[in-house]
Amino acid sequence: MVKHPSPQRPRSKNAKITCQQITALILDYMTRELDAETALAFKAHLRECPDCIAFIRTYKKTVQAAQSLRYESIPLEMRKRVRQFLQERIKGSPPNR
Amino acid sequence: MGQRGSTEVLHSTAKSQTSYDEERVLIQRVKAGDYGAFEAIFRQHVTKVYRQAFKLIGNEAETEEVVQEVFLAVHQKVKTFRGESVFSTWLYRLTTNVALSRLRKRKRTKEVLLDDYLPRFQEDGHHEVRPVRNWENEVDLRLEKQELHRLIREALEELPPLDKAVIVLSDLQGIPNREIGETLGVSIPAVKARLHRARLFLRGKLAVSLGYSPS
Repeated sequence: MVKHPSPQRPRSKNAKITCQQITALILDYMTRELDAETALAFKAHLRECPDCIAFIRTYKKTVQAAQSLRYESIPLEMRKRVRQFLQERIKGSPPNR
Repeated sequence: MGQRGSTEVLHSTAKSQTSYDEERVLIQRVKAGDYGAFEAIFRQHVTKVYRQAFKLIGNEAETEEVVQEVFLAVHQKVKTFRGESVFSTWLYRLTTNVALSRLRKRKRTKEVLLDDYLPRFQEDGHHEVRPVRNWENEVDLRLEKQELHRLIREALEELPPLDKAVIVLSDLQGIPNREIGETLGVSIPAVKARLHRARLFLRGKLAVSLGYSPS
């Protein structure tokens, strides 16, 4: 099982949440899946905490960096080899060129 | 963050009903043993299968073996494809599972302690290292794009297989958590927990590469 930092929700609208709880809730915050009460507490915390603002900005930057990865097409020679392999395995003969 | 479904991502968004019908006919022909139809399926999907496998595997030699295995499996298992999902979704789930199975068999040459790159907190819940540095803008100023991509790819390679599969499917492929859960056989909360942990790890690796604490 993955150990997940315990994102204990605030019990009342006046309850404060900690930086550790903010960190555990970032993913749901980004996808707008926090319930209304937790979202309010989350935003209230951010108004007072430059550390968490910095943390969230660098978290989002990391996600953007991962999303910016680009991948090449299959190399032509590899494509030919795979095609040949499949024909030999399935039909028992090399492909017609 | 916008989540794009695999059907949308892996199919062109404007795929017409005609091309769906053509694909259905093609699959029926493959089921009937028509090798030409199988080759047409291969031509249509090989690049996307290759890219997806490469994202998970990380090197060309093993990716080639995965692509071979996937298309052999397509030929062997196409009769079990009932058309309940889009063919490309079925195919890319198959690709994920073949690649993941290979990742799990790999001997991990370098044991990286994930916890070393995850944020730490004081007993009262504050960040352990304060102030937390906002290095958001430094990434582009201090790292060439190639260097940034190399760092991210290396960090991905250090993740446990399932965490890697989750972040690849989510952040690199844009697949929704529900679909990732169905593909990998894990619950949505488990997908989210692994995705968050993987992102925190990547963030920690980037922070360290810039000279800052992961915390």
